[in-house]
Amino acid sequence: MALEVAKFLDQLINGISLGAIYALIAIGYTMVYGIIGMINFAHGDIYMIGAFLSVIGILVLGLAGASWAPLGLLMVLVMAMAITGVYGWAVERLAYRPLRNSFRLAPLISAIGMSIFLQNFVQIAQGARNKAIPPIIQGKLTLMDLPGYSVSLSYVQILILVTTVALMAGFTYMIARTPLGRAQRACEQDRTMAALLGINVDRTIATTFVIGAALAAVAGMLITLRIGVIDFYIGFVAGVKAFTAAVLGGIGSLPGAVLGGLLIGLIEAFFSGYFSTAYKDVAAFVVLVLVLIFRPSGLLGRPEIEKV
Amino acid sequence: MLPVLETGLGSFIGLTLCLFGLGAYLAGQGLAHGWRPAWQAAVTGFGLALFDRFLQWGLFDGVLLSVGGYLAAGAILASIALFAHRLTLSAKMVRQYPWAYEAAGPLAWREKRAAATLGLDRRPEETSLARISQSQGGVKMNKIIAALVVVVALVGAYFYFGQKPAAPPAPATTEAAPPPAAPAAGDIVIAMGGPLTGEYAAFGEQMKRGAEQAVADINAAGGIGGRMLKIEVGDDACDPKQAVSVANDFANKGVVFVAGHFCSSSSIPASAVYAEHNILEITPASTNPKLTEDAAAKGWTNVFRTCGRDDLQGPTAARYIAKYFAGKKVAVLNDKSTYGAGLAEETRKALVGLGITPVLDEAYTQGDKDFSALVAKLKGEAVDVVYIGGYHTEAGLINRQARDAGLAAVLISGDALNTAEFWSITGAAGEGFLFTFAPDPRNLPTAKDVVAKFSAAGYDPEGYTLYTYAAVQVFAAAVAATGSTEEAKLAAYLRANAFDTVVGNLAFDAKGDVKGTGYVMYEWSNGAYKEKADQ
Repeated sequence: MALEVAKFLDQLINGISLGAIYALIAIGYTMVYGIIGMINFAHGDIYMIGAFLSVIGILVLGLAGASWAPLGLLMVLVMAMAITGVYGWAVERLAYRPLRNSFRLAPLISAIGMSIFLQNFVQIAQGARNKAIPPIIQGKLTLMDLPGYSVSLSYVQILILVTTVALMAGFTYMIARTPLGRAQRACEQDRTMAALLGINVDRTIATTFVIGAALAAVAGMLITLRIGVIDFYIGFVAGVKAFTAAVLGGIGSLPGAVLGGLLIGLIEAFFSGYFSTAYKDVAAFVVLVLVLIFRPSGLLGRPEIEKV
Repeated sequence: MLPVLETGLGSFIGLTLCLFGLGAYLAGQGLAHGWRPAWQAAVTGFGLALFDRFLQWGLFDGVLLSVGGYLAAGAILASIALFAHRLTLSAKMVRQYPWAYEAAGPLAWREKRAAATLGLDRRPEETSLARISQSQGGVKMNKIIAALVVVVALVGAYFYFGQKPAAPPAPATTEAAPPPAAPAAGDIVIAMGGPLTGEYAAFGEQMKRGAEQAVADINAAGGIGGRMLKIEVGDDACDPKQAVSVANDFANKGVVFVAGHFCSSSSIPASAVYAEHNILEITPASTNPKLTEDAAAKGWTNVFRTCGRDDLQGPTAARYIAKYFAGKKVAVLNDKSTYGAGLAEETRKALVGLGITPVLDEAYTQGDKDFSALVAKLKGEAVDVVYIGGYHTEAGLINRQARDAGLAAVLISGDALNTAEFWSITGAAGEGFLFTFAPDPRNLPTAKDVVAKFSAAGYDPEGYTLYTYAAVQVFAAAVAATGSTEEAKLAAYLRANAFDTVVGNLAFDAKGDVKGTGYVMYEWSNGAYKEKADQ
C-alpha cells in the first residue's frame, strides 16, 4: 500500500515538473493569442533559442570560473531572457506587424516560416549535434523512504515549480492591475478604440511578444537545468505540446494555460506510469480532442458569444 | 440478437457509438449553433446511419441492406444528435439572452418572470435578427483552432512517431561536389551515406572519417589499377525518406559503391534504390537482420555488411545477463526504431530462451528528453537490469535520469553506444553502463598503421570508423581483382573470397553477412569504454 502511494506520488511529481515547463511555454502562446487573436507558431523555436542561450551562458561562465552557482545562473537567466526577448520582438516586427491587417492566415504562415528559419539558423550556427551540460543543481529532498523505493523531490524540480507559480501569479497581477495589463486588455477588446483612447497599440503588442519570449527563455533555462541535453529540434515537440496545453486550458486564459500545461504533463506521466510509455502522447492528444468536442473553448476559456 | 449488434459489440461501440456517435454529436452542436431546427438533427442522424451501415458492411461483414439494423443505428445516432442539439441550444439561449431566459436543467430553459412582463419573451429564433445572425454565419475562431489543433496534432504525431523525430529537413549534402559532377575519365565514384546532422551525427562523422581516410590511402598508393577513387558524401539524418533521396542522388551521380548507411531504418529503404541501379552497398553499421535477409529473399545480390547482426548481438547480451544476473529482475526497453526495436526483440527472445522473463517490456519515443515517468516505473518494478534497444542519446538520458532518481539498476545496450558523445550526455552517471560491440578493431595488429594515421590527425578512430574503412578496402580489393565496377561481378567476387582489412580477415556468406563475427561486452568508465575483462 505504502509502495503504491509512493509510486503515485513519484509520478505526480514527474508530471507536475514536466507540466510546469509546458505551462511556461503555453503562457506565451496564450498571451499572444489573447492580444492579437493569432497563434505565434514560432514560439516553440523561441523557447529552443532560450535553451541554447542558457547552455552557452552556462558554459561561458563555467569557463570563466564562476564559483557561486546561484548568482551565475541568475546572470545567465537575465541574459537569456533579454536576448530571447529581442528574438520575440523581431518575430513580431518581421512576421506579424507588416501583415496585421492582411487576411487572417497570412501572419500564421509567416510565423511558420519564421519557425523554420530559426530552426535552421540554430542548426547552422550551433551545429546539429546534441549540446550537453553537466548537472549544476544537484541534491534533493527525500519525501518517502521505503525499502527499495524512495520518493524524492530534486532541487531543480522545486525551482521549476516555484518559478512557474511565481511567474503565473506575477503575470495575472500584471494583467489585472498594471497600466500595461490594462493596455493589453484594451487592445484585446478593440484595437481601434484603444488607439483612439491614446494607447500605443504597436508598442503594447510588441511588449506582449517580448514578455512571451522572455517566459519561453525561462522555460528553456529550466529544461536545460533539468535535462541537461538540448538540440535544435526541441522547440518543435515542446511547441506542439505547449500549444495543445494552451488550447486545452482555453486559449487566451492565463490560468487556463497553466492548468492545461499541468494536465498534459500529468496525463503523460500517469499514462506512462500505469499503462504504456509508448502511447503517452496519444493519450494526451485524445484528451485534447475530447475536450475540444465537448468544450470547444477549452477548460477555462470563455465561449465566444455571438451577439444578435 | 439486436440488429445493430450483428457484427459484434466491439464494432458497435467503436464504429457506431464512438466514431459516428461523435459525428452526430458534433452535427447536432453545429446545427444548434446555426439556429437550425431540431428535425434537421434527426435527419442528420439517419443520414449518418447510412454511412455507418456501409462501413459495418465493408469492414465487419455486416448485412448491407438490413432495415432493422439501419433503423436501430439511425435511431441511436438521431437521438445523440438531438441530445447535442438541445444541450447546445439551451446553453446558447441562456448565455445570449440572460435578461430573458434562465436555465432549467441542462436541457431546458425558461422565461424569467421579470422579462416576461417586459414583453421580451419572444423566442429569438423567430425574430428577423436571428435570421441575420444565421446568414452572417460568422466563422468561429474556436472551430478554426480546433481544426488547426487536429492538423498540428496529426502532423506532429507523424513526425513524432515516425522513424526519426528529430530529422531536420536538411538537403542531401554534396560536399566538394560542384553541380556538374562529371567524374574525370577513369575516376571511380564511390559514396558514403550516413547521418551528418541530427541526433546521430556523431556516427555519421565516424563513417565519413573512415571512408575519407580509406580513399586517401588508396589514392596515395596509386589508386586501383591507376584509377583514382572519388568520394561523394550524403546526409540521410537517419531519416528513411531522406535516405532514399540520398540514394537516388548517388545513383544520378554515377556512384558504383556506397559505404552506408548507419541506421537500419535508412539502410533498408536505400538498399532497394541501390538494387535497382546495380550499386554495391556495404554498410559498416546497420545491424538489423532484415537488411540482408530481405535482400536475399528478393534475390538482390548487392547488399553486404562489415558489422554483425542483431540476432547475434542480442543473444550475447542475454547470455551475459543470464550469467551475471541470474535470478534478477530484467526490463527491456526499445525506441520503436527499426534498429532499437529489432535489437530489443532479439534480446528478449534470447532471454526467454535462457529462462529469464523480463518483468517489464516498454517502448519510448526517439527524440524524447524527459524519461522521469519511465524511470519511476522501472523503480516501481524494482528492476536490477535494464536492457535498452536504442541509440546513445536516449539511452544516455535514461541513464542520467535513472541515477538522479536513485535507480541503481545495471544498464545494458547495443552497439550504438560506442561514441564519446555518450559520456558528454551522461557525465559521471554513465559509469558502469554496459554495451555489446565487436571486439575493438583499434587493438588489432592489422589496424595499427591506420590508427596511427588517425591519431596523428588528432582523431580517435572509435566505433564504426574502421568498419567503414574496411568496407572501402573490400570494395577496392574486389575492383582490383575483377578489373570491373559492375555490381554483379563485384558481388560474386565478394561472396567467393576473403579480404584482409584493417578489422581483420573478412569473408561474406551468401546473404552478404560477415562470416564468424562475434560480439563482446564493453563497459563505460571514466569517459572511455573498454572490453570487460570477465565475460
